[in-house]
Amino acid sequence: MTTHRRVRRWRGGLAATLFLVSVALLTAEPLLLAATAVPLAYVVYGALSRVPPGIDVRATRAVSDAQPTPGEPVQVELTVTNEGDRSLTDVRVVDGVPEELAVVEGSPRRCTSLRPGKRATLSYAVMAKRGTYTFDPTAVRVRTLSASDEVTADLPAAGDETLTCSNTVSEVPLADATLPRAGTLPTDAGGSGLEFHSTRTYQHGDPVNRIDWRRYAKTDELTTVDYREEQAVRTVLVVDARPPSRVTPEPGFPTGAELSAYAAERLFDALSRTSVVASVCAVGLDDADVPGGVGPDGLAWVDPSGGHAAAHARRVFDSVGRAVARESAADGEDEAPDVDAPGEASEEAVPATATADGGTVDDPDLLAVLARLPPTAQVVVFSPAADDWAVSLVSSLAVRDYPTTLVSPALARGDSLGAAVAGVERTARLQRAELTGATVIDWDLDSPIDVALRASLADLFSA
Amino acid sequence: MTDDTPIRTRTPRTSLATVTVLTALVVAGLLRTVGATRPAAVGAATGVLLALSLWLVGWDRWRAVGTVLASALALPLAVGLAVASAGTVVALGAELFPVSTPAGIRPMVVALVSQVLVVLGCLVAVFGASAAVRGAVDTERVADYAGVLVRTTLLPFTVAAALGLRGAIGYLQSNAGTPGVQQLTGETLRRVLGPVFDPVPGRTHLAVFCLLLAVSAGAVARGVAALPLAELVPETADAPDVARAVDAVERSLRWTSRLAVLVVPVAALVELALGQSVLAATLPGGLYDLLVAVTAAPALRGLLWWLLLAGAALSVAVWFLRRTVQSSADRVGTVVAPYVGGAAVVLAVLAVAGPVVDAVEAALRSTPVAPAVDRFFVPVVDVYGAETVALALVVASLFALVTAVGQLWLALATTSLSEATAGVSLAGGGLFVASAFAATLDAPTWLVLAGLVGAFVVWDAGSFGATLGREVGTAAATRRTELVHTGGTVAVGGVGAVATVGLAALASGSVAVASPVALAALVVCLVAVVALAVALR
Repeated sequence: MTTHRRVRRWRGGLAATLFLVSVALLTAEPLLLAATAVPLAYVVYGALSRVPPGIDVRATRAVSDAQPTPGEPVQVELTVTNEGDRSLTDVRVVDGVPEELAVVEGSPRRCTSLRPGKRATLSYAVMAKRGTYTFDPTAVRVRTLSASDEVTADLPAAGDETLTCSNTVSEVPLADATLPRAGTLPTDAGGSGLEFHSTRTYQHGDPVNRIDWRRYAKTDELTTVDYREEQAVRTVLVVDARPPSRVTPEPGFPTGAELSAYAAERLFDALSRTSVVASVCAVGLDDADVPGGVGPDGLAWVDPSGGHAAAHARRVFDSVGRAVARESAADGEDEAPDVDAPGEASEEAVPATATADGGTVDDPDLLAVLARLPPTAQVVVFSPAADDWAVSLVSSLAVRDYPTTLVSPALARGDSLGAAVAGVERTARLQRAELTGATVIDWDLDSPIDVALRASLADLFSA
Repeated sequence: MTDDTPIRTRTPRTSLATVTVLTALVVAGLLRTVGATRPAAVGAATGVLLALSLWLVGWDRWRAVGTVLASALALPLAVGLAVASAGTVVALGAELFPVSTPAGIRPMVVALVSQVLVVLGCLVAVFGASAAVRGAVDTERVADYAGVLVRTTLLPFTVAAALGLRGAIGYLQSNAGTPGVQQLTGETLRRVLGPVFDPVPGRTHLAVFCLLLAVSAGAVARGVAALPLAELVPETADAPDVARAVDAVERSLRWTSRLAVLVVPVAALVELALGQSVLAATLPGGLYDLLVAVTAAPALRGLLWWLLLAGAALSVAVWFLRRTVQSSADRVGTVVAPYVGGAAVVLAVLAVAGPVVDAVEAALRSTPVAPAVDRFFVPVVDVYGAETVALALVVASLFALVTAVGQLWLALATTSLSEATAGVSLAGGGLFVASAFAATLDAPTWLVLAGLVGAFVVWDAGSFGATLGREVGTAAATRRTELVHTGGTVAVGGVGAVATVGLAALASGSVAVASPVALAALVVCLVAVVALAVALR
């Protein structure tokens, strides 16, 4: 689409001419009459200058990393070439950065002069977010030297048109952390199994193959051998997507909830490659966010038993991103709540008293999670710990003897006072969680989540 | 242009540098052509100060401090404006006049007006360029600043009016001896004001005294009631019962006031209808003498007046404090600062009034209006006092400043001046006017042409930069385009300047005889050129 517009910016020259004539007549100064040539020259300059016909400008875009991980800056280069045979003195280019992506370095805008055949490059970096984003056409505006005539066009840029940031895993992550356990959890109870545990007096109904026949031959007493019982590991991944955790360190950066969901998804992928049975639970979502709505207890819960578990789990992870997008759309121009003010956000969002010491708990989300956990589960909580909820959950789980891990993306960035305060509060929360006996993984966003998980998750299964 | 990324939309540096440097150079050149160098320099400084004040008003980080500073700068600004305009007239008037022949008067007046307009144009140009640097000119900010100026002016204006009124009344009363209208007004004033302020001794003034007593007692009662005395005393068992005492004092004051009001009509009737002799005969001798002594005592009158003033001031102060504690410090600072600034202006003017009036008088004596000084200025100073005159001069300057800022606001509000390019438009306009009027002085032709072209370049670079900042932002590289664009504008200006020089050389020969026909033809030619340009567009 091309629009052509004339800007009457030199019409002040006519007023200036009249002014000079008036002053000249008033003061009988012939020089001023002659000096009307100056403003009139500008009027003529503005009137005569036109954007030459047949402008041919091409744009080519190159994205440095086609498949980045969320939170990683991606370099974009846009090259504009003057393919026509006229010099363009004033070419303004604005690349069509997808609305959802924030520019973190450089500027997607440029103004330059281009001779025929010459090219100009503008480079900038956007913060990658989960999903596929299509670049809008590049807006190009060409002005004349007098700036009184302009042509604006939307150019579809050649080259890379999309930026995809997905969870495709090139290597199997976390293999060493999970494989030795083979998806089972040894218990201290006797029963059927492989490893010898104890012997006891035969009771009526004991399986015949567990009777110790040698002993019966020697002593004529029936004895039953107990083996160490093995139970299937049930791992529950709890994603904290409540509004207080939808904080972001800087505009365009993924929110705490999105990063938590991303980490949970990575772990879910890894676990589903092994035989660990994993359930997924997202807290704080709305009916509108989850296809099919959340459960009656307000949780988006996916059990492995229902079939298509992986697809359902993925849908829950996507719902977190949807909830964040819906919230920022509802906020209008406001960005997601700033990490500088976690206290305010938590006060608004959690009316109930969620105490961190495991005392009286009447937060409905927390109670719902506790009510729904299977008795033999291990729990991995993903939360930015922007308020006390995650710590309350972890300590409540510790009281109920669940092996618990807290994975927390470190959101506070920059050296502002607010970020420092938020960082200190978060560190204190993580320490409290650690004191309750949970394993805490402090995910520094500068390193990939796989590294953080691999370093710490071996503990998860060695209970 | 669809990118929604937040960008800083300020004018790029290169354009700003072009605007400021060029303005500074042209202003420096133009001001050298003005005879009165000191007022001219003051005018340029006033432009910078005005831009600074405007920026201070919109200083979001320290709103209260900004308002205080802007209010405090009102006095230097007003004085600067007065010096730049009236000061130039006075300084040049001394140089250019007296004129030997009557025919020489007109060129002299033209020269004088031109010089003043050059100074004012430079002032506007400097203001516009300085304001463009910080983008300080927008409708809201200018409206805020106008509000600050009006509130700053309020107190000096009130004080000047009160002082003027006092001087006028004194003058009119002193004229009672002169026959005619003056005698009539003098007598009337004396009759009305005499019993109130200056009672005649030897007779009773019961009615006026009671009225004054009623008003004063009422005012003091209100003041006492407003004071938080009871709240200030600690609530202990052995503490004096202040609340009751205060209550008693207030009640007795109110009753005194009411009784006095009741007495007023009776006393007035008795004093007017019966006369002093009946009163003296009716009342016991001692009581009559006491009444005479009390109601006519000037000291007692003075005391009552002061009590009235103190009570009113106390009520206002307490009301004000009660209002202010309920709002934030920043808001209080923003609202109160202009009044404090006004008080500072009054105090400053009162402190230096004598020398200032003497200096003004001396300056006026050196001009052609010297004879008028003795006829008008000196008597006025004698009647009203140097303080009143100095304050009135400052208030007049402040009014001029308020008017100027109000006009700027009007231009912005009606969008005849675009907010985005207001600063550079003012800079360009100021330079253009100053250069045009400099041509009527002894300025060299190259300077006039440089000024005219410079005005266009300043405006063009500034407005081009503003568009660039809005569309591309300051984060992008734009210098090359800006330089190319400005180069084009300078080149066109150069063509215009060369054409001017050629035309002037041509015209000096051909239009030697200033016949009305030739002049009309020239005007028609110009109109034709303008019409052609319009048609081309």
